[in-house]
Amino acid sequence: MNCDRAKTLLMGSHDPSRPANEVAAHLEQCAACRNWHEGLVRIERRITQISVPRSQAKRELVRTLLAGKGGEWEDPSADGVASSPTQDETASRFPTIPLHHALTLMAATVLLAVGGWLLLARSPTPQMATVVVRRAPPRPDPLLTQFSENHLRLTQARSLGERLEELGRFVDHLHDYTRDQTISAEPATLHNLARIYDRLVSEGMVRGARTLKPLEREKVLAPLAERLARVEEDAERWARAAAPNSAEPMRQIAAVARLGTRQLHALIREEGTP
Amino acid sequence: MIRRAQEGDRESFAGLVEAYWDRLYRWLYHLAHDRHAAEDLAQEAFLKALANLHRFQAGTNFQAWLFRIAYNRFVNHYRRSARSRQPLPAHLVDHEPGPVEQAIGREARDNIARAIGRLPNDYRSALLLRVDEGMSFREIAGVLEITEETARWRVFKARQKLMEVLAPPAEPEAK
Repeated sequence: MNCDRAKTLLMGSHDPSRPANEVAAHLEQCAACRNWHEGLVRIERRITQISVPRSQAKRELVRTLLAGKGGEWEDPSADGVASSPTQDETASRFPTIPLHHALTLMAATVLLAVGGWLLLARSPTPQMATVVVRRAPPRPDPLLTQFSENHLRLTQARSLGERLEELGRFVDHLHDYTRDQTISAEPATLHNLARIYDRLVSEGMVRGARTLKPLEREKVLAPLAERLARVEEDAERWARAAAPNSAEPMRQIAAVARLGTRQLHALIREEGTP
Repeated sequence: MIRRAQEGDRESFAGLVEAYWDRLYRWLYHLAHDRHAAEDLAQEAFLKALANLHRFQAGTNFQAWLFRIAYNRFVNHYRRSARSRQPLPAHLVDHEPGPVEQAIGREARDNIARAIGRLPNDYRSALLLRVDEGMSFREIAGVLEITEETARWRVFKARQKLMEVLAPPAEPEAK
């Protein structure tokens, strides 16, 4: 065994302080590796001795929990805003997510994002935004709140490029939200999320990207393609870790992201085509 | 205790907070490099765990499940704050060094803390789960939602980088 091999095995081991027999044999014969090994073990030991600032938050949380007088546990949203109270004990404790409202808002948003520049040039009518606001549910939902903010920025965008960038931010927020749901959401919720991804990417992003001027494509579409590549990677990973019923919508999200990435790259390449 | 907490016993859940808070907060502090962020993330993770405790399978690894919830929240936080590698605080404040820390010296400790802080998040999170929490590569994989092989690889890379920065240069091999 040579020194590089010994070091590789030590760094990949569960516990470098307990080397395998063949590595231990090498260490007995090689002073340099022995020194190196002692350094590695010392560093790992010292990691456990690094202190962190004291925190009072544990005591506060425990006090809050013990002071509680019953009622449902609240599931914090991705934005740290308490979500809707849950329903009764026998029903799922996961708060009701009005995703049908999200779909309605998304459909209007995609229509605005795509139809706005196909039919209305750069000036979406205020009426459209008003209709969407009226359809928003009375109780704030973090996903809808975020979508509403994105939608507002979309109506204020001055160019197709800005609108596409805003759709990219939609994707980011949706992705953060989906990440939070992977542990606890029902399959139906995840399927709804997959449908929202599909609309956002294929009907909103890709369709809009096709009308972008060729010279602008690389600058606008490359970051969007990168985002979608990350979505695909994460969704595949979540699918592997999920129960079978939940894995399927995760794979759908990955497939949407993969196709979207390919389509955006194809549009970028077209730019260079004479 | 978990079963009682699943049945709605707040004292039991408070007991889980007592049992796991320090370790979770410590790990999150090393990831976020910010006390307040670490506290918020830990609190959110516990509340989310509490809200979804009925989904936890008793008999499986509660710590890994809790840390996984926390890691997902950290990832969202990290993306939102749009920070890459974060500078360490100038001082590690609000703590009193114990006898062990005094023995190894502030400089050595700070050097290691600084080097860990400069590791990419992926490597740092895996290394700390291995070294600080004593998790197996399989448990690390469960927390970070990666394969066991990737967990091993990330710990390997973290160790490699730390040794490059902190270890003395190698001497010629003795015969």
